[in-house]
Amino acid sequence: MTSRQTTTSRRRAKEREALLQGTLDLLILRTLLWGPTHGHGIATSIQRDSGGAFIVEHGSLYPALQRLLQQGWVKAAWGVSENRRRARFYRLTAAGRKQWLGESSKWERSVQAISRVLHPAREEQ
Amino acid sequence: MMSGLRRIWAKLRGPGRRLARELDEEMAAHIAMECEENEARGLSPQAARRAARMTFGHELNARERSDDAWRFAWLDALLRDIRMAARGIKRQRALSVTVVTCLALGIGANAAICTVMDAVLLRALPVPNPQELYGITATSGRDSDNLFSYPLYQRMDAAVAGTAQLAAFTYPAPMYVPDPGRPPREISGQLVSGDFFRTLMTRPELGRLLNPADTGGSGVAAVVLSHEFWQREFGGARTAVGSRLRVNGVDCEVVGVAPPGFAGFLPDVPPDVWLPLTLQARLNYNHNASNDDTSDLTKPWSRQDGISWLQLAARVPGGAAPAVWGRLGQLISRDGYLAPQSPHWRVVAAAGAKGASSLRRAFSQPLEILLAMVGLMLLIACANVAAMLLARGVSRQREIAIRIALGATGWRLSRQLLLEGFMLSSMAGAGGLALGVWGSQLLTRLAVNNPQAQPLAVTVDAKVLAFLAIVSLLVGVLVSLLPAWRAQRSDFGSGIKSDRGQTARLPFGRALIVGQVALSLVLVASAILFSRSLRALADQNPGFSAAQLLNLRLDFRASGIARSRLPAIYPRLLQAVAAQAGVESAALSECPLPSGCTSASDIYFPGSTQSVNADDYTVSTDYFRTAGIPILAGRGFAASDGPSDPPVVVVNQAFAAKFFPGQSPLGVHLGSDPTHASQLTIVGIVGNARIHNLREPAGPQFFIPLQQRPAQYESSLQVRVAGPMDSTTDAVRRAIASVAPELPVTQVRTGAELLQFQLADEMLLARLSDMFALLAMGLACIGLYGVISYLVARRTSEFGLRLALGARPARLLESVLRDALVLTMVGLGLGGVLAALAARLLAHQLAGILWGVTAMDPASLAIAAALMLLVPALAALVPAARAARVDPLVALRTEA
Repeated sequence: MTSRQTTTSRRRAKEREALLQGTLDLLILRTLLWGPTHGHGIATSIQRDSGGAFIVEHGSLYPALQRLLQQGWVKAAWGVSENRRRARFYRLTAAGRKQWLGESSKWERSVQAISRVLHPAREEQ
Repeated sequence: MMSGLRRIWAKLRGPGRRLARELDEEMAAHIAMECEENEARGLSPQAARRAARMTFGHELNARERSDDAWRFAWLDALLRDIRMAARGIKRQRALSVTVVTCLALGIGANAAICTVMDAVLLRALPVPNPQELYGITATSGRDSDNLFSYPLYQRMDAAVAGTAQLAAFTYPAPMYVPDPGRPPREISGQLVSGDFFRTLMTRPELGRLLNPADTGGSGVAAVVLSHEFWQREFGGARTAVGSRLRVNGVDCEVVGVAPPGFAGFLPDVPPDVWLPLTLQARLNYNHNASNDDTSDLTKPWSRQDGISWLQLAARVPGGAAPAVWGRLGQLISRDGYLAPQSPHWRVVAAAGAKGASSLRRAFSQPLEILLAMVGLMLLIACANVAAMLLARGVSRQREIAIRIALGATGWRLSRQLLLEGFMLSSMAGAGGLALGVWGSQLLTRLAVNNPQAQPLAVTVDAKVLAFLAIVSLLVGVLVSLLPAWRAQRSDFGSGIKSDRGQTARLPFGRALIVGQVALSLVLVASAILFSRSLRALADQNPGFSAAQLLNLRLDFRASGIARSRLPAIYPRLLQAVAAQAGVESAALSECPLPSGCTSASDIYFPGSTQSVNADDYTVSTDYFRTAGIPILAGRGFAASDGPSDPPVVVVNQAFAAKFFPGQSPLGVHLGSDPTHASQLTIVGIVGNARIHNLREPAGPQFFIPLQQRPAQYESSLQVRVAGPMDSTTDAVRRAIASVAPELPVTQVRTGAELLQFQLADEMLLARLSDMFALLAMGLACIGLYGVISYLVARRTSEFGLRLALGARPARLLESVLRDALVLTMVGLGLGGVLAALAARLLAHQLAGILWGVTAMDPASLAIAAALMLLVPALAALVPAARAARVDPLVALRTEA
């Protein structure tokens, strides 16, 4: 019995992560539009800006940041935080900005498309 | 481009140490900031830290996944898992070696059988578009014959000219080439029609191949060499073309060499040379022919409709086949020669892409059986290995539970177990390949029962390698599936506590053992079945005495000794041989004893126009004494049965029983045609001797004294030897050479050797199945031992407790043994059902192989079951003794 429960909960964790996977990169890029900030700053501002809807498991944040670094969309440099703590600040590159523009308009288009499908009546008015 | 490459390189290299350190520092900073915020919200430092960690999630996991961004994650994980698996395999060396050995044996046996099967059953002829080839036979509903006369072949060829091509050829026969200073040497020659090579679309390696002009009969005789013969005899010299080769006393010109690997349409009897079939008379070729009354075997065969001696192959381009068979059928059913015999002649075409192979016919059934057996063996090996891995998996439960606790996912664990399985199975696959190559060579050496025959070309090709790879892969999955599945649903709590005694049931392990015992029983039973069949075949009385009997082949005909000289040579030869020390008696005949050789003819009794058919043998006076065939009534032949004396004949018991049931045939007359039905007189009855075929009881036979047919070509000398075989053989050879130095002496064999050749298939099958059965039993022992000792180990504390409570050690011993016995008995019951099923499934194949026993032989099954009871006795005794020797104090302390 115990074993089954363990399995199920593990599976659920995996699902949530998959849900975030596509959007997390986009949200990070969006946050960095306002200016360079560190990992903790990114996490809190995503949480705040989404009105608490997205709870970023901070552990997922760092793999995502490494991915973006790898793609060359962000750059990282060590700096000092507002609390005078040594932290790594992430900055959007030109390529990252372009990526954000492309991705966000794509995102917008698909959101519109989905809402048209979900609420066809509203569109006609 | 450049940056792409750099990125791949960077990914292969991984993030490096600096990045890892930075990431650690960064994550620590993150948690510290979170901590400060929490504290600012009024939490205690401890609670703040805890909450920060909670929101962050699994640090190790985050790090691993961050690393992944910098690498080819799968490659990295794979390498890591391979390292882990290799470490696991190395740690348990004894187990790994056992596992690899078990699997290698199973895979190797399969590879060997499949390689041979591929060579014998599957390989297409090395000619262009082999799928267009067909083997042609004719059937009248009553008779079917794969032999045709040359005139009939020519009529058939003309009927389909333009759409198809027909080739005619003989079965390769022994021929002789001079060997300076020694008696002529035997080679194998095939007579073929002019368009034989054109039909097969073969291109010459050198010079040219035979063409229709060569069968014109004028000019010098042309001969084509096989590539192998060219290499062997001419050292591969290009000057071979244009040189002379004397075959059976006929001067031939070497016109070309066939490509390597080409053996004509009969792949298992590769000839050394090909000659135009119109040379039949000049070469004194006289093999494999059936003839009727209108024919004369002493005249050239190529002009006679009454002598059928040629096999046919056709090349029909795609689509035209039905039309061609229709036209051939029409021709044959209205043929001026064939039609009067039976109105129902029709043509039967068999796909000939692989040629016509007697080996294929003879071995397809044993090979199919063997394939089933090695398949079973592989299954047993897999079950065995799975049981071992499973038992180990249970003992590894603690390790697995700890790794789950440290954050390893179930998939990750299963992946590693699968990898371990793959690594073991690919090591076993490599071992199996070596075993398979060796085994297939051994197998063909054993399978080709004539040691002079060229061994079949058995090579391990891409097909077999692919087969091996797939089998190894499947085996890997099969053996690790169960442990992996168990790891997936591994129970964290109970695993980490490592409680003994609670999970000592191992249901899968038990099921695997039962299955293994069941499959082993099938193998053991079939091995016993084949051995009993062989024994029955070898033990039966062949009707002659094979011990101390020497057979020599003397080819008077091919060595160019004229018929007219035979009456003078025969008595001198027999006298010279009989005079040698150690020789009891000697006789000439047509067939060695035993052999596959036979000739039959129609005979008539006075007052009847109906003919009957019986095997006939022309033998010299001392034949019955030499062969050890007992004379039951009347007399054998005597010196007084001379050419001018009244013609006599001796018949066998089967002849008497069939044609004269309940009365004595002595004094009865018979003849070879209705007008001379009183020509011969039966003077004696001899016992039934299986001259022709050991597997069937002798049919009606009659014997004619050589003295009364003195100009008949004989080809076999039998010698009954009193002393040692070797020295006598040399003496006999010398005696023959003193009488006829030009006479080639070949195929010197003792009767016992010939018996062995005749039983080669059965012996091979019996020996191999014995081997497989022994292996299967050994595997079953290992498997059962593993599982029982595992169970005993798990129950140590229980045994300790029981001993402490006063149980006698013998009781514990008994209970463990009973456990093993029950498993075995269940397996045997299941195996009995399986064996019955297998016997029914393979009834057809088995019927062609078994002799004197039926596929459903209860005795074999009973013996096998009794033998299988040795398995629990052998495998469980040691662990059972261990259980009985448990020290209660030690056992109970480990519990705590």
